[in-house]
Amino acid sequence: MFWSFELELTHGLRTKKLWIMTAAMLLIYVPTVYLLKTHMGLPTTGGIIGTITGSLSSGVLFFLGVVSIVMGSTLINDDIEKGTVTISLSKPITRHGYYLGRYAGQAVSVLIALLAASAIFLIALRAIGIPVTRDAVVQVLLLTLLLFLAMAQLLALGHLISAFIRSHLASIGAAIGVFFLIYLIIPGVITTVVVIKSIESSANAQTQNLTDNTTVINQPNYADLLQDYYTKYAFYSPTAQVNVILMNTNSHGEYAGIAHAVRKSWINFVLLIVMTAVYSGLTLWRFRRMDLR
Amino acid sequence: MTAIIIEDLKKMYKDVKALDGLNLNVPEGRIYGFLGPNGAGKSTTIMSMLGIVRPNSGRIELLGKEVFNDGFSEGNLVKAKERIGYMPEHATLWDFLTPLQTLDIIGLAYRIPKMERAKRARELLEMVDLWEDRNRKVGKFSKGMRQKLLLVQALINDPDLLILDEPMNGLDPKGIAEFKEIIRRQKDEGKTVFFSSHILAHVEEVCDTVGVIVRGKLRLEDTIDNIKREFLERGGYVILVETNKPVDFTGTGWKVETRGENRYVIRASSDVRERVYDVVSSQGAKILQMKVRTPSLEEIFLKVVE
Repeated sequence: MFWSFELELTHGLRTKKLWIMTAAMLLIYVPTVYLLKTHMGLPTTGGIIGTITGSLSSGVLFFLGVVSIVMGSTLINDDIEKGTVTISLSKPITRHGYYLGRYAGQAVSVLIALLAASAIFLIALRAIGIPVTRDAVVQVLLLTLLLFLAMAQLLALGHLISAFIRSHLASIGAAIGVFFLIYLIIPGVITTVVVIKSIESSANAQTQNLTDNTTVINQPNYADLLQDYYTKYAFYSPTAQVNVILMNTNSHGEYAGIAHAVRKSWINFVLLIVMTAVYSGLTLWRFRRMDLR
Repeated sequence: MTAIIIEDLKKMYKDVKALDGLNLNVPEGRIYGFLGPNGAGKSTTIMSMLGIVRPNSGRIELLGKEVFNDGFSEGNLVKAKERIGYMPEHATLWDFLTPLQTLDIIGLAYRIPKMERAKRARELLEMVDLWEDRNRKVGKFSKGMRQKLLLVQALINDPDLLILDEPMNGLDPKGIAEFKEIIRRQKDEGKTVFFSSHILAHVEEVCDTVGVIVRGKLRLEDTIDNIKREFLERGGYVILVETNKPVDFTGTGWKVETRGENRYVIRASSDVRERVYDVVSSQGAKILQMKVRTPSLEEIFLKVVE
């Protein structure tokens, strides 16, 4: 396992994908820093994290998600196409050790990119004169780790695709399709259903305007219902689970932190880990039975 | 001891029988040439031995370890692979690594200590004239250079069993000569080399035993000398005779073809040169030229494949 981990990490750190990902994250962070500087004066930790989470759900999660699932979707089939898998597996290593090592190597590459981007973001905040407290650093780190869990699950989902589709190009296409489904389409449908349900269950439903989403979203049961539906019907989507967790960073109108959000939506946090294990377990099951030629 | 034992190995790719009850025995210390037409099952056999392809049933034993018996024993396979070197037919090495890094990471898979890995990598790269290119990315290598690196990566662990799948593809004549020398050296050191190729001249020159696989079954397996002798005894002797006037070979029991004026091709099951001389002399003719053509491995191979 260690062998393929080292091989994959060496590969990951030398390929352009990783650094494109880091650069893209920083590009998305730039408007955030600008926003903090121009509109918020000297923001609190809550202000910083609130702004970052806003950027995350709108941009970083989407972009990084695509990169991660695409990275994962060529892990096995590309190796078969190039024939490097025959070299690797002719050495005294097991198939499960080989896959898990490569997965770990890819995941650590992503984590390094995320940490690098976060560190540069914090340095940029300090450079523009925003005080970066210890609490802010902890919150940014926790956020990065949460994001990492989502990316690790998307990598695993990509691996599952790469274990079933032999052509790496077809696999990339399928991965992008799956990502749009779990990031955009399914959460969109669920949100619409929740909005309708909220209106229906509201005591004032008859007087509500169906198009007035602000009113609906402000209803106390809307967030709970949305979390409930995302948990039940989008449990396989890491981006949906991260969004649910990030919805719970506030308590009584005050920023309460990532740890608080994780505690409040622990099922979603557990789902992030469990579904990663499910995807990688299925990949491993398939990989152990495959003819790798 | 036997280096490779394969018993009744079967492998289906969907509806296609790739291996149909293959049996194979490769004694230790031999250079074994594994021959067969395209699609005969050579690569499938090799990949099955290494666990890269999953056979449906049968038994495989490598260097005394039973690695497959209707299912793989991962533990035994890993232990056996510690003593095996493999050079695949169609493979690229990692383009982002240099030859030195490639051999280092492959040596790491065998848990060879770092200092020893570095020493061995240098020896091997010097052996195939790649030391000067040790810091160039493999992605920039020519096909011949990659082929050499593929060979030396298979030697990094000083294997007791070296498995080579079409190893001389893409090599220039000098490279081929070096390659043959490396293979012979392995034999001198008491190692076993299992070597598949479609270039029969190479096999004939290097191997002492050959096996011919056709449609997933072993059709022939013996030493090259024995195979040739047997082939000759089955009517494989071909004698070319040229006389000064026509000769009648009726009643000799040989198959005789006339090729041009007073030129004959005689096929017999033994060396009948003396009898040919007698027949020709008894008819008052003289032999101008006579030679025995020994069959090439290629002829035997084609006969077996047919």
